[in-house]
Amino acid sequence: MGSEKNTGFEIKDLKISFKVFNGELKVIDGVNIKLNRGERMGLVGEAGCGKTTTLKSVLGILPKQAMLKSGQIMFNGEDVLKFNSAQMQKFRQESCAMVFQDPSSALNPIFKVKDLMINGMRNSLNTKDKSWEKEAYGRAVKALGEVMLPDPKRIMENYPFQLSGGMRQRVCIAMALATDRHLLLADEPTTSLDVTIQEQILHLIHKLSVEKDMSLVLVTHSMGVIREMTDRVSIMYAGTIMEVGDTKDVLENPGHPYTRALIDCIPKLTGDGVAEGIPGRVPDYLNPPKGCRYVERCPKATAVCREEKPQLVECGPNHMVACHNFGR
Amino acid sequence: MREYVKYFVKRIGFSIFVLIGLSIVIFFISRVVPGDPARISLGPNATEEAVQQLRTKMHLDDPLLLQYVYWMEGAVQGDFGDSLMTKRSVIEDVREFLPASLELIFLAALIHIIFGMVLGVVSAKYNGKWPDTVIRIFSYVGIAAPPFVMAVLFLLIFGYWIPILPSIGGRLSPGITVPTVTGFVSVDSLISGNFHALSDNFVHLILPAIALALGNMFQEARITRSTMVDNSGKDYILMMRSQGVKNGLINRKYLFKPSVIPTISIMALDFSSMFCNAFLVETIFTYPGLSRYAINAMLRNDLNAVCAVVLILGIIFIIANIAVDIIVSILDPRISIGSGGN
Repeated sequence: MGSEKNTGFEIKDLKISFKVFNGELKVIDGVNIKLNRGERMGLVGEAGCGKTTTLKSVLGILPKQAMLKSGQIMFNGEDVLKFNSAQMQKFRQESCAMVFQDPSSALNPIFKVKDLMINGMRNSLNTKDKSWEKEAYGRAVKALGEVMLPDPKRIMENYPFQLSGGMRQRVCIAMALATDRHLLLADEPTTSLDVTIQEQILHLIHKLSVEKDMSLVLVTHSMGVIREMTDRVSIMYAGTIMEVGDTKDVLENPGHPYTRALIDCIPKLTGDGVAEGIPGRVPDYLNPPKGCRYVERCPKATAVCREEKPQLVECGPNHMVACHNFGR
Repeated sequence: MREYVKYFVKRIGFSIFVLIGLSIVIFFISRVVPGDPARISLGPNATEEAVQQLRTKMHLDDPLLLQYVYWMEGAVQGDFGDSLMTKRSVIEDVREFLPASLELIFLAALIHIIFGMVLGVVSAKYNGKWPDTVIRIFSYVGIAAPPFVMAVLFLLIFGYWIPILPSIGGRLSPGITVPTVTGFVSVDSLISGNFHALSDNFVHLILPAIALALGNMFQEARITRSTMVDNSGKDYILMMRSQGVKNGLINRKYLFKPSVIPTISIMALDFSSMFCNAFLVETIFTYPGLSRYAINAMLRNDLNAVCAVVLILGIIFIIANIAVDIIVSILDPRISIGSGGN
């Protein structure tokens, strides 16, 4: 299904606002993400900074109040945001899938796994004749096996509520990967699972993305997960990308004060107990700061930070940072 | 599945206790209300002796508990005593009036269930656009205006200004008769093959049925709409959309089915509440139904009739609820199979 064409995925200068009663929430304000084929990219940031919104905008499943202000989402040289509905459906069916944060709400509770999986992929198959259902069933069983679910045929007959949280998330991943897609957007796939299951699910996603030569955008809060899972990482704050680079490089030589603060928040085994977190909170999206959005919480903020929005600039090999203070 | 059958056996068993409770409450209330039923029945001119005779016959002089036992004994055999108002046995009255009311209420239920859902779905589909707004405005009016206002309005419009429908009540026009088999005129006319009577019956039913249905219909439309709009933003819908499933299939199947469950649950309540609302509608349309009979019985202290009607309505209420529970559990496997994981 056109895998030769997969030249990568890039989000350019994405801006999204939400219409609300008393104005406009300028949530996403300049997201830039670029990843090559087969690369795994981490997307880190605190709650409410627009990570999920970014992913949803790729698949065109934003709520009605969302307004696309500007930007491009390039996939295989085409702008996803300019797709008409048929092209978008094709993109969803063949190229890109998303794994949601909470598997218990992502599966329709009153339908069997079989029903959800088969109908989920009915338009993604090339077979258009009557045998599609049989093929879909076969693929579904195979996909459930790939996500290490024991006895896939029995799982197919189960309702989602009969499965545990980890099993549900595996079903969701199986749904995303049952057909040959090239881009997987994983929106905190382990947040609602318990710790032992988190590890398994992450390994599974990592393994499958390698096996299937798939690009991955993994949203998470955990720096540990980022280090283990990803090749590159984007640090996001209040709807803007603050820093982006090779994972190891960013974690070892953070260029942005926010990245540094995030890393300092990780509890250290040898350190002085639990870290304190970053004082302050995410800015008001109704009236965001004119300049850098991190300015209110940044210990190094200067006058220029308030006035001018910093652009992403090269700060090392394959490493960019959006901070006025960098290099000064 | 066995759990499921067990659950319903339990439900029905429990319902019997509810009915016994109901019978105790209604019986004792009916006995403590002021007024001497025997005297009311015989009128002010009857001799004291005759009244006393009737009192003995009705066991009114016995202790209350014993009265209840006598009454219950009769009730389980379908004998609720005589109605003081019609001078017939109560069960005979019920046999005549209940089918009339049920006929009306079934038609009303059909109207509000079908159109309630259709309007709800249309509203949800055009959320925020003009069809939604129009339905919303009508909904507020329809919910706010009680059925009797609608009834009067309809009579005025369709019986007087545009006289296309009969404004004089009853179940059939004078001169048309059908042999009584089930007591439901519509069914009886079908059985006897009298289609003229069937359409005549329908013409008599339609206005009161609509008047009765409108409030519930709009209520259900609102509930269907809001659950559908809520659910359309849920992850499980976004999940299907993100997989490239066609919108038609998503709306028809994955959105509609979970969204109608709350609406169906309230339909049982709506069905029962229609019996109360039916009183005024039946009165306005002079329709010979059970609700009108019941209110008249209450106003005239006809205790036997009141107790019987309340018990029968209790049974109907319970049946409606159990029926809805069964429908909901068929639609929602979480109920029939039990939510093990949650």
